[in-house]
Amino acid sequence: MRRRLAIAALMATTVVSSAYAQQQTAKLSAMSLEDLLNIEVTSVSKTEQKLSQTASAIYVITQEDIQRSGATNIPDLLRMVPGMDVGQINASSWAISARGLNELYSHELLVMVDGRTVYTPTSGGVYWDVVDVPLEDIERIEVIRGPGGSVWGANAVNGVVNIITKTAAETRGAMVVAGGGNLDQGFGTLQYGGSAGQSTNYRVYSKYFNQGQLPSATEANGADGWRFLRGGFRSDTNLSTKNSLSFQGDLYLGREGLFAKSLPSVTMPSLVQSPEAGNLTGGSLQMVWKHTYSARSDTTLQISYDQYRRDHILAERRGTIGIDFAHHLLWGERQNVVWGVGYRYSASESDGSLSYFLVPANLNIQLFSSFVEDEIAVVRNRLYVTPGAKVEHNYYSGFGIMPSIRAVWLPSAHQTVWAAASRALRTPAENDAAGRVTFGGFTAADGMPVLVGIVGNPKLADESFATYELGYRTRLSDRLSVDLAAYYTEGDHQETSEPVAPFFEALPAPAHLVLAQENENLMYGEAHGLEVFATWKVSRRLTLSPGYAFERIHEHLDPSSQDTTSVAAAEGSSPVNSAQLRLHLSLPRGLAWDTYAYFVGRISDPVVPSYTRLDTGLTWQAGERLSFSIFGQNLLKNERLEYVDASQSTAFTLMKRSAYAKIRWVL
Amino acid sequence: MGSVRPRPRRLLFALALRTAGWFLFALAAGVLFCAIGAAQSDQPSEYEVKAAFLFNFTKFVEWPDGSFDGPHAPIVIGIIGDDPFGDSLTRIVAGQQVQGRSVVIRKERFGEDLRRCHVLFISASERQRSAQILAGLRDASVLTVSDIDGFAEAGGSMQFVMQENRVRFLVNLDAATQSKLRVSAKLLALAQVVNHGQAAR
Repeated sequence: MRRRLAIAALMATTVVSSAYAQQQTAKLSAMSLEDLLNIEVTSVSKTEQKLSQTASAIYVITQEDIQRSGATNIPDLLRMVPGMDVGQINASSWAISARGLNELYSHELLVMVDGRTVYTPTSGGVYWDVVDVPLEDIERIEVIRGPGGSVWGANAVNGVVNIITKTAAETRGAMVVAGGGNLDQGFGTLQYGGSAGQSTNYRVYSKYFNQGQLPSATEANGADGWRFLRGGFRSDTNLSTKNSLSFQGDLYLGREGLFAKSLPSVTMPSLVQSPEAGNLTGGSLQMVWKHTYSARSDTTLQISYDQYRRDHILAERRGTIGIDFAHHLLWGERQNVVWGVGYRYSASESDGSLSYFLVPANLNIQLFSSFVEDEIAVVRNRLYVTPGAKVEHNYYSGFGIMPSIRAVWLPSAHQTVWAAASRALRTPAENDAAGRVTFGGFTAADGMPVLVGIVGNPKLADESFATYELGYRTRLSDRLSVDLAAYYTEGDHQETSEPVAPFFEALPAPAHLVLAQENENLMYGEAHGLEVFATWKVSRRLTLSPGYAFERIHEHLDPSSQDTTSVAAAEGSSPVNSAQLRLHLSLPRGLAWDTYAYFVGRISDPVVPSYTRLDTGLTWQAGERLSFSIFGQNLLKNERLEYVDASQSTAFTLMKRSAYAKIRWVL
Repeated sequence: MGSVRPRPRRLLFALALRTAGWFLFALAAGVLFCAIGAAQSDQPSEYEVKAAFLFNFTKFVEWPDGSFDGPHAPIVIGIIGDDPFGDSLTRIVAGQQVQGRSVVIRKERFGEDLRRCHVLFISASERQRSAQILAGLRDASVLTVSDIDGFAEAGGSMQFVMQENRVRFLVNLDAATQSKLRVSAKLLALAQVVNHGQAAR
């Protein structure tokens, strides 16, 4: 009954708003020229225009979206992107992918902060717990669903997330953010931005948060509380009209808890779960030099260094140096070319434990890459075709080529039709090629200890994916825009686990038998899906943004495969249906009310029932410098299961209802 | 045993359903209130305002004798290229009289005789052809209007520009004069005047 009422009310809204449009034009035609000059209008920015003409399934999270969302971390922000799969496993672990194949440390998604890739070669995935910047400093987050391999390289199979921070010139002055609640027990950012000389701007910040424990399935406290202290800086210098130089870096120190699973010894090979807390430290430093030769040609050189240390499970240390060069030029009348080369060197050490270690434990790997992309104006302002390709050489699987061709057709100023065909690769990570996972074991009849697990395969090949996409965007009016993308992907040489002959191992003592499975490339499959979202500025005060995504994956095994788990895992790691509705309402006196509702369908492997998450909050902008907000998160259901790590290496906890209050003061 | 006791899970489910129902109801009610509230003081879109300007220009421009077929012939506003106005322009001019004439909107296409228009709006989609269109209208008494960058400097009569989310307009007096149009002082007072080939920046 109430639902019917709700629908009736929504319909009434539509009627009211269209009647209102009539009234509005009547008012406009009676206005004088002076009045018209003073009217403020809603308009579409140049960036929005450019993004609306992109030949890929792009979604941009703006700073405004970030403020409105009430999210306190980057994974929660990504929930608003239709087609993204965001599953929180415990307080500090997430499984994040786009278009399926989700898991903890999902390796089909490429994540960058200001162009610096942050995935780890250990798993090919992202340690989301350490991907953080003050959210107020983010200019925008560009999310591309679907392959981006021809520019971004391996692992950009299912999507690319690029977190772009504001330049130092945009964050001058001091800023204080402080808040706390029942789950986010305390958080705050202190920042100061200033200028040195005429051409240099800088900012320095420190950020802290302390998040409480979530309940586990059996206990009120899941032992997954965590806290982080982070400090960083960015400086931007205009050396001349043709050269600009920017430096940025950060250092972090954190401690996070979890229920760790471990094997006490070879003779007691049953997994024991115990709460433990580990320290995480790390940092990064990067330099970007942009040189403009002319309005038609410019180059970018980016050098970055990233280091981390994680005390959990594997106990690993890693340092990575990356150098990337790109040259952009307008060639002739119709061509817009970008080409570049890149090099990465990564050195790692790990202690490992009986339940998980790497062979070899210490490894230095190199990655070479080059790419070229050419946007050709076949018919200017109407039809553009962009062929491109990236060639990479990596430590395990050698050379790989990732070509793509994209086309965009602009039938009118308000419509964009795009299509793309691309091949993307997922290269083996150290975990796939050199990992040793032990699930458990037993003592054989003759007293011989036996361990059961997975051994990495250094001869593993690339997984390859061919994707065909079609998209349509339209701005039906200045108030309503709709974006639609559909895709079909064929995956080949996907990873499976195949039994190998049992072998004896002397170390760790005593000598024991290993019943193992090895990683192989014996699965192939198809995926198809659809993502649609709209932004409807119902009135000056009210904006509604609904979104919906559908995805379905079918996997098949090569006849020679004896794998029993990979098909179900790949098919069922993400929901078939997901939907969302965002509502922003700006009220008089600087008040704003934001509500985010997310529906996520059932996940079948491991099973997670469908759920709806609801966040809502009120923000009061008290003048230009001060704002107060209160947010409630996950309000519908307390102690809700959101995602389970299939490998069971990270214990899950349950999401709980939470609320916090925040103050933001810009001086 | 077991079947008499109410099952707590069911109860919880019903409770969750009821909560969700209330939430939807509150949401819809909220939306309705806001839409009504917003109707009192809303912001028009860019092209609604530009449409109102186009209509207003007809009040402040005098066309030379012979531009109209008769004393009651309508003022024709032509739009060439993609129409960005939706139905807002049609709605604004509906039933309005200017200098004793009604105003009609006509969609034009490149290659047609554009001289029959009194005002011609050249849409941004015609960016590549705007110079050609202007050349074809040289000496014709047509007030050319566009929001293409550099339109007024390139010889168009009037150009819309956006400044801080407000619509402003530039007038190229030379171009208007060459078209034998008399632009009223009131309009000029509100415009930024640009001379042929050199902008008053």
